Amino acid sequence: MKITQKYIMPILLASAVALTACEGDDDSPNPAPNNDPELITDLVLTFTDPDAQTSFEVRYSDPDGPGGNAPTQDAITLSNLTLYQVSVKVEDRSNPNVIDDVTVAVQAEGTEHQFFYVQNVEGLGITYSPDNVDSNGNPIGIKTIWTITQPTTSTQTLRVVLRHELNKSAEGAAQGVLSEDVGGDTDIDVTFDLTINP
Amino acid sequence: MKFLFGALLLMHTAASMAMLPCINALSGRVADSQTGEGLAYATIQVIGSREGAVADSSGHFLIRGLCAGTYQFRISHIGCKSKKMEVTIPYDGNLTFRLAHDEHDLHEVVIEAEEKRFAPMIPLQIKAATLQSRSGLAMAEMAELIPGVRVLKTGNTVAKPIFRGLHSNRLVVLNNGIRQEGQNWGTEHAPELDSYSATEISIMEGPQALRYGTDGMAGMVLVLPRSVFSRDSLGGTIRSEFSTNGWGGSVSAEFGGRFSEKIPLYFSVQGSAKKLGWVKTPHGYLRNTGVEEGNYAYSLGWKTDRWKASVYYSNFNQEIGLYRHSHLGNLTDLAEVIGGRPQPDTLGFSYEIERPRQEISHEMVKASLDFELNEWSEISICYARQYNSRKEYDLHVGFNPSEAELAAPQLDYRLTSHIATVAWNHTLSWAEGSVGIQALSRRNRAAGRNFLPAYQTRDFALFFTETMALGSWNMEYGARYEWLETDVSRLTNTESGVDYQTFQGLAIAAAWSKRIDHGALRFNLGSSWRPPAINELYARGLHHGAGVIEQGDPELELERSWLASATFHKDYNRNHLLASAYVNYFEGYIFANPRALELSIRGAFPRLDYTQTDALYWGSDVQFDSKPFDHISTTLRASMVWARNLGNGSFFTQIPAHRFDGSARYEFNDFGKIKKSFIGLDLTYTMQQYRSPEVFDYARLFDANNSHTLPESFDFAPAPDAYFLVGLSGGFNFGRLSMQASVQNMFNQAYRDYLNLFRYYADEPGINFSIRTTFQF
Repeated sequence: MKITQKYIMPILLASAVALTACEGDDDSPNPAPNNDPELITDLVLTFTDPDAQTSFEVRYSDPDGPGGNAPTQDAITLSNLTLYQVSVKVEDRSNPNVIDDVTVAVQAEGTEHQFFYVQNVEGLGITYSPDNVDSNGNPIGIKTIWTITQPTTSTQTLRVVLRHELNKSAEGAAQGVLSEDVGGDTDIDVTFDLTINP
Repeated sequence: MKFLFGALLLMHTAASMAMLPCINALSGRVADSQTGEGLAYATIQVIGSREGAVADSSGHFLIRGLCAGTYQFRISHIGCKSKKMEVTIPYDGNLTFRLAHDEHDLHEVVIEAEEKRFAPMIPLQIKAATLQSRSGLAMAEMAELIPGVRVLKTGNTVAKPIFRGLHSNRLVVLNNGIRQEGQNWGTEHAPELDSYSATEISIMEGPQALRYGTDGMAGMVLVLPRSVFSRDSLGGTIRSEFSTNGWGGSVSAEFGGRFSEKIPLYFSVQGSAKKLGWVKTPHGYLRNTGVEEGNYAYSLGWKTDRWKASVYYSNFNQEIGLYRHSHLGNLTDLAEVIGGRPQPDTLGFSYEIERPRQEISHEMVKASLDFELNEWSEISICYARQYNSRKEYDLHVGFNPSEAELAAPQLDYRLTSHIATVAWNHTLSWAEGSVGIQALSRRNRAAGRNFLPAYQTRDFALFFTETMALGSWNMEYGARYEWLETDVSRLTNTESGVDYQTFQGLAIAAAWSKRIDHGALRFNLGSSWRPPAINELYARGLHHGAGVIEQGDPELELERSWLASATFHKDYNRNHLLASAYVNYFEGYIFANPRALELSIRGAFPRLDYTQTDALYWGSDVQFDSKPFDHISTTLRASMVWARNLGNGSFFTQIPAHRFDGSARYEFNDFGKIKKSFIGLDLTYTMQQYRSPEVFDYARLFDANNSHTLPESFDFAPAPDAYFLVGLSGGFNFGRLSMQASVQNMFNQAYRDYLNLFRYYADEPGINFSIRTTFQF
């Protein structure tokens, strides 16, 4: 009895020690946070006037993502009676040293994505550029053509929406109508102030 | 050597019996371990002597002429397995010997005298026999049988306990006597433990909880696995559960005992597995609502007269799917869904677990040693290490994800914690208590989306608890001082650095209980505190599940609660009443306060800033059990809780709505080998939460002249309507086998529950048939 007493206790305690070297061990240094792969911080609309051979950019920027510092954004100021070729670019600039152009990926997954341009007051003629379509021939909406025919009189806004896994065959979707039937998940939803000078 | 010593001691006791005039008496009761009814004419015999007594018709007995010392008694009753046990005389508690009805019965032999002499007079607990009727469910859903406990859910796969309205950072879960250390802050993070391992779930309220922490703001939930020392011979249990809703179930096996008569080495092993597919509401299947689980645990123990040492290891692994259409891009999507946008859910049934999903594993090692210093005191030393890993996979993985991005979780938390406790416990005839120190360290790694930073904490605590007998009253009191320091690594792409913080404070509690005729009365007063949790200090960003931007505040102070509660229970002939009421006042109550609509590239979101206010919680829980006729028993329960933000008079979210439930059971006479057969009816009525915050006005999102202000508290949708559910159950025992069958939501009612975070998106599960079996060997 003395012997069992003498040996089994230490064995039991030793097994306790052995058990502590268990599989889930995490002594690695803290990993640097990898970015949210879905993070988009910037949206840039590039307006090109092919007649005047001029172009300018309108930017929405929130480099630290949601929360933290408030985003900054430009206003859209356009000239009446002008046709603009507009392209949208989305970027991840959360790390200023590595700027990730997400537009390329949106284009590559074109069948699952579509940009919509929603006005609070009808007046702009915005059509999808026929050369920016997915493999099914449906618009992606990265390139659009804006036809300006009347100046703004009240506060006008333009909402840029990027939907993901949407129903592209919903009625009006191919014409840029964002109805409830479009569904899907919103990746981007940004509203710009819009002024059209007479 | 020690055995020899024990034998000598026994001989010495026997000798002294003959020589000294002995005037001590022992009184008590012999009861059925299952029903608690007194066993008439049971015999109580002092082993090795002719002393003894026969109980009266209600199981009460009295033995006179005993000397001071430790006696071994044999308690026997016709139809029961006799039981040997030790009692030290003089014994002034209320002694109850419990016998199980024959050895093949599924009841446990519970010997209360072995438990603490000053055991709480009003235990809020559920024991193995009752847990069996809920096997396969999550721990929180089992605990719902305890008055005051409700369940906070995220879909059908995540369930967290709520006690007296409090959960998450305010409710500590103790698994096998160790604080469960996981990502407890998240309302969608359930306690990471195998519900099959529990043989008892109870609530600890008052001074006793101070042994484990200062932050049990209303109490702590105790989950007790079977003690490794619970069996002196080999034995085990196999349990299983099958459900039609989800077409799956779970199975668990447990085996253990003492290796041999010669050496006091005990062991137990336990394992369980679970798999369920997509659940069905009355309208159709919910995509991606399956769950898979695989867990195991084992334990070794060594027990002598003076030593008791054990090691315990448990491993929990779970993968759960979260309803596919619960992760939405922004509030416009949410507004459309709440407004009735049809969810594309016409798919059939599947077991597949896809994104969004959670992968959780939890590992615990515990080693404990109790060493008896002398007849009235012992030292207990306990060390535990836990490793908690939580990986959350979002619905989308960015644009055109690479292989590596597809494989990596979007949130990855790994928490390693160590807890060491040394306590000195004393047991005197008039008092018992404990004094101890505790140290705790946590290291949390965070990777993936920047929502929470990595951090480390170190805690040191001193505590004492004491229970004293004062006439017919027991008085318990205790205090705990805790100091902790935190290093938070702020590490993002644009900033880095370590924030250092310390918190300290004292928690105190006192309770008075009195035994009254066939019942007891208990009053409890206490003040607890908790440091702000990591999410309250440092959360930053979009909370995808909740659709809000959360912003922590590193300047938060600790939160303190002042609790007063009263509990009363009494038997009235064939009826039993248990009633409790409580008031909990919070100073510096930390909550997410709506501040403004904040713009992000995904659109506007409500921004909630963690801030502090004063708050009041109050409520009452009542349970009335009755046996109006011989074969019929009924239970009526009411659970009510109120809460108020005293700062501005607004309501908090996720406060349980009042619930009333009732059940009736008819027990049949035993028929041959078929015993304890019954049928039962369960009715549950849950009210609408009419004290809910204002409904969010989505028009604000699209209002160009948006004022960016929010109401003082809001919710995205109104609280769901009241609902009434009906269930049926039935079962029987056949030898060592016990079977139960039940139907939940019998009328396949479509309803939503206020305490389910997915109530915006989907109905609760529809009708479900389940079968549970238990086989004991």
